[in-house]
Amino acid sequence: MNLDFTVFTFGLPILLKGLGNTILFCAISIVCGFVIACLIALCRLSRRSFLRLPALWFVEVFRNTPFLVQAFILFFAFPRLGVRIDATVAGIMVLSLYAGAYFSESIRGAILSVPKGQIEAARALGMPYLRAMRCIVLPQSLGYLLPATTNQIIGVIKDSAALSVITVPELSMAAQVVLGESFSPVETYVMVAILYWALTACVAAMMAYFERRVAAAAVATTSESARFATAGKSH
Amino acid sequence: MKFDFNVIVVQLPWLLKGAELTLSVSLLGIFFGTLVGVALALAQQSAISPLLYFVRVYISFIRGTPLFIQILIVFFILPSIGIDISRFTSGVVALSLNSGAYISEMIRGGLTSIRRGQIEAGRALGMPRPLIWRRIILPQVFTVILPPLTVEFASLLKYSALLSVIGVVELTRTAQQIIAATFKPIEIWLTVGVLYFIMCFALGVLTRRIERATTIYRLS
Amino acid sequence: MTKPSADSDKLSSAPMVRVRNLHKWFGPLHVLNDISFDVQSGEKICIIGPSGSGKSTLLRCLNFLEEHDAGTIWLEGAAMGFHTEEDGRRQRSSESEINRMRASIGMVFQSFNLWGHMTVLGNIIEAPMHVRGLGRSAAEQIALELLERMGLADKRNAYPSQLSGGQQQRAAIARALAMRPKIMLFDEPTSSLDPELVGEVLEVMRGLAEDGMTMLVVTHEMDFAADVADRIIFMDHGTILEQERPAQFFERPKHERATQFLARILRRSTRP
Repeated sequence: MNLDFTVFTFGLPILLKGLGNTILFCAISIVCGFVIACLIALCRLSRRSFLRLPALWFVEVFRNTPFLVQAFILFFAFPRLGVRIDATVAGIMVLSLYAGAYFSESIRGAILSVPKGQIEAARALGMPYLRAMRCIVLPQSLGYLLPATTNQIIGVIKDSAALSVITVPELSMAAQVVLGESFSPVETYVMVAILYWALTACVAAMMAYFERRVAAAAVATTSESARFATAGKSH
Repeated sequence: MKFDFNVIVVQLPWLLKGAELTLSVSLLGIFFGTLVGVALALAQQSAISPLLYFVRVYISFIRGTPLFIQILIVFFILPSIGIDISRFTSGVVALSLNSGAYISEMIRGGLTSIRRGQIEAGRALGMPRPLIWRRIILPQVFTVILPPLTVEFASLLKYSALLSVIGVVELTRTAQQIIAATFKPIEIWLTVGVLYFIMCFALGVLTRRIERATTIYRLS
Repeated sequence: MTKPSADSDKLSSAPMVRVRNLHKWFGPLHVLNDISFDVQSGEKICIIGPSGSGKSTLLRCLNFLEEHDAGTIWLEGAAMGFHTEEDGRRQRSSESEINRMRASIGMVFQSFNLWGHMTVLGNIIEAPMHVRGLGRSAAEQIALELLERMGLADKRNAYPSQLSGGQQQRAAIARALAMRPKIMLFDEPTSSLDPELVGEVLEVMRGLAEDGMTMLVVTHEMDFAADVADRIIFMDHGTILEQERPAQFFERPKHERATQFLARILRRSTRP
């Protein structure tokens, strides 16, 4: 096996630009995905079936089909409907929807894992449903949510590589550009793999930091409320 | 905008052939992936530190990089070290190496889920270690990992679509070939989506059945 | 009592169990400190004491689930776990020797430890078939007899997850008895059970005692101990503080700590 190391020097700038795009596109998709996921999760938890069922179908469709096929469908749907769309915009759209479907499962699981008594206490005090969700349930669900979404966020970053097939100019696509000049596929793809690896490792470390902060905040607030609760008893 | 149903009817047999290949590549992937997973799990039980280090780096690499790139690396690296195999085989290798990492984690989880007391009961009855492994530990690990293994199989069915980029003529690649000839992308891709959905959804139902069937073997 | 000589690991004298100068450390913690006692055939011994006194560790050393660091354990005259070579060295016995001896000791655990993937019948016949080499029908016959005695005949094809705690423990006792052990060790057999299920397990243990089984029971059930035990061994901080008949122990304990322990136990049980 002959490794051509010159491809490292001229290929790296191109790949780094692609990496930058990957980070940007994934960040946008993850944020949009979360918004979509919150909506979907709330619909799935709703008692009204006209909200619950379409949300369920949405999730099932996106979870039971390959992301690549979803990307193709969206990419070709717009011209068919007469709308001219940029590959990047289409890519971010499909990635957001895909992310949203998976995140919604985590959010739903996290909300369900908050003990039922919490929201019952809030309702008993006269708090309306949405306020109870926002102020009582959602903050508590963060502790359950972070570990689950770390893996899914990393999954979105990895799955975004498939967008290169519909010509979105992210990291995997940049690899094709380098390959067009260098004819060293093994070296190029190994470099690309290492860049993805570095990116996911950074994201994992960042999420671990947030998990620790949330855990510390949880300890602080419980000891806080414990002090508050017992303060009234001392005389 | 007109939706051409006719082209779907005409092309369906080809698409089904592609689906057949998707199924076979995924089945081979999960089979060899399980072998890889067992090997990795056993390696992690050993005390040889270079081996442990290698396994940990390997699993981290698989979990931290896209399968898309892994497929391309396997496809290009094998000829360069003199191994000449078909695209199909290269695809199976990539899928197996990927699944193997995740399956080894499942096996390790399964092993730790077996409570020490069960092994102690075996020892107290005078059962030798190999017997305890064969009759108590392994059967229970198997029942514990069966549901996540079916989930992994469904995942492979979806990710096998990526094999189209190395020219394996599974469902996605077949669709691309048909579209190149008929210029009906939406009709074909939607049909392909439905086919994948049917396969994965059926597997999901199977997974839930297996989960229900195995709960009786699990002590609280 | 004269100490047995170092070159005779096989003794011809009567005790079923003989323990001499047993020591065990968990790191810096001296969990068993110079333990010595005998158990005669057919005796029922109840080992009681506060938590952390080393009671369970002592029991688990007897069938070598824990390895003792010093001292000797003889079961029916044969040394368990470690034996002394001709030149006086302490040598670990082979796995097959240890397993052979374990086959004639039955152990019942606090958390039952039934195998979840096998039926009750499957649990009971497993060791007789694969350790003693019995055929399936012979093993099943023994198992069904035992299940009758335990009152679990109708549960033979049930899985442990389908049984109550009391039923699981009775099945576990049957599993141990299927190997026809000479000694039965019970490690807090009722501590994990709901109060209303404790009685059915103690009943079974009483029956075993009446049939003449040699039993060592670590327990907190003082009524049971007072009724059934031939001797109470009271342990605290790794040493045996008292060894006497139950009547004597419960009414006139010799040690301060035994008195304190009994006072705490009685205070709990007489609280309205």
